[in-house]
Amino acid sequence: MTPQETFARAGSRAHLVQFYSEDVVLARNVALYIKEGVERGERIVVVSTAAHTKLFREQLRASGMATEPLERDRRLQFFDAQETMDSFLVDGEPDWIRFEQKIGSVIRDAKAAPGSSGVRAYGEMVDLLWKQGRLGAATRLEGFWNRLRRTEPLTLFCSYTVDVLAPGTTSVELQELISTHSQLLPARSNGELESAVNRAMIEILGAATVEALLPLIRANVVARVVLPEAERTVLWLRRNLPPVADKVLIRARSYYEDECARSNHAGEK
Amino acid sequence: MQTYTVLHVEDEPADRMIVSAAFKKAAPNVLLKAAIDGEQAIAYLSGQGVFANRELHPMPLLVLLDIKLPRKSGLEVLEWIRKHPTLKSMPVLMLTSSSESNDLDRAYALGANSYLVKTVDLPAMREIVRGIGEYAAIVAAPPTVEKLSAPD
Repeated sequence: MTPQETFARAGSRAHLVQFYSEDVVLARNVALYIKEGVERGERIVVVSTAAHTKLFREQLRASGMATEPLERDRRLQFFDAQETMDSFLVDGEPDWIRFEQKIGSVIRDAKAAPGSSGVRAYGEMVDLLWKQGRLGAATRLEGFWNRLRRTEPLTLFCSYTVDVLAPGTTSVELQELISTHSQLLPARSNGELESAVNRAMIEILGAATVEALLPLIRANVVARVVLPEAERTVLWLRRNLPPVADKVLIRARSYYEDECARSNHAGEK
Repeated sequence: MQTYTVLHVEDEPADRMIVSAAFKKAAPNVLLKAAIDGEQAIAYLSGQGVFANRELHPMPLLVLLDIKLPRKSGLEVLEWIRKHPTLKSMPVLMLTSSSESNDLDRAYALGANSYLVKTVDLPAMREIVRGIGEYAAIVAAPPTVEKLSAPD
């Protein structure tokens, strides 16, 4: 399923997550997500860094959506991720009561706005915590969002600066991040990661072995989360065959970079 | 043909039969041994009592472990394996009818490698078992040289 299809289907139970290493991929997906919400008459709440806010506005304009009238009518609201998060940290940790007061009131106001058909939020405060190496605080904040969604249903999309092929990223960390969501979006929409991982696996393990392993990999329940094939395979390799995983992922990286460069080049033409 | 021992811990005779038939058909390289409860699984892995004879009861390469077991649950067995000084890195694949989030989260937190939900779809079960057979072969002898040449 492409990100566009995912965003079109996402209802108020959806809590989507994107792992990304290229801002351009993130900006494209966030713009699609926002556009889908605007077309549905939803109020959009975006909590992002200043640099990303600028990028998202540019991407929306480039795709033909003027943001100024939407922002003026508060149909689209941008909040600074660090400032917003600072408002509900107590001793450096996310505090539920303050979070509920701050974010809950923004969501309730957006819902109650005339003509609102619902709320769609995008957030990257969790990524700020993740980048500081504070996985526990990030998953606690994800839990706060999920708790808020029980009383104030909303569609939610988060992103993390995560390179699933990076040797330092462990399966435990990846699983913790994924498991608070309902669906992980693919790193790229044209299957670049899947193709790179498959090619590397076949070269290192052999085609017959890979063919035999795939049903086992697909049958493995990672969490109650919809996962793209490539990310599912990477998680399985890291957890079940760590020494092989290192070899496969190093090789997959070189193919992935080639595939991305080819896709970017084709996109520019 | 090189054979690999897999210990299947399952209390339901019908489920043991389904898995055993699937291994015979789809992974004949696997010597499947059975334990019918959690305590027997620990006795097998520790080589206690009747399991002291390792010719008859070889040390498995990996364990297929149900969760809901008499005497000791699968999660207790998993915890025991992960705390054992020599067995702690043995691959453990949960094979269970439980799709409860609590069981899933607990199994991974205790160090399960995979979590598989039992299926009555026999062709699907055979495919999974075939994968387990291949997986066992890789665990026994991880590839040291790539099957194909290095990329350009």
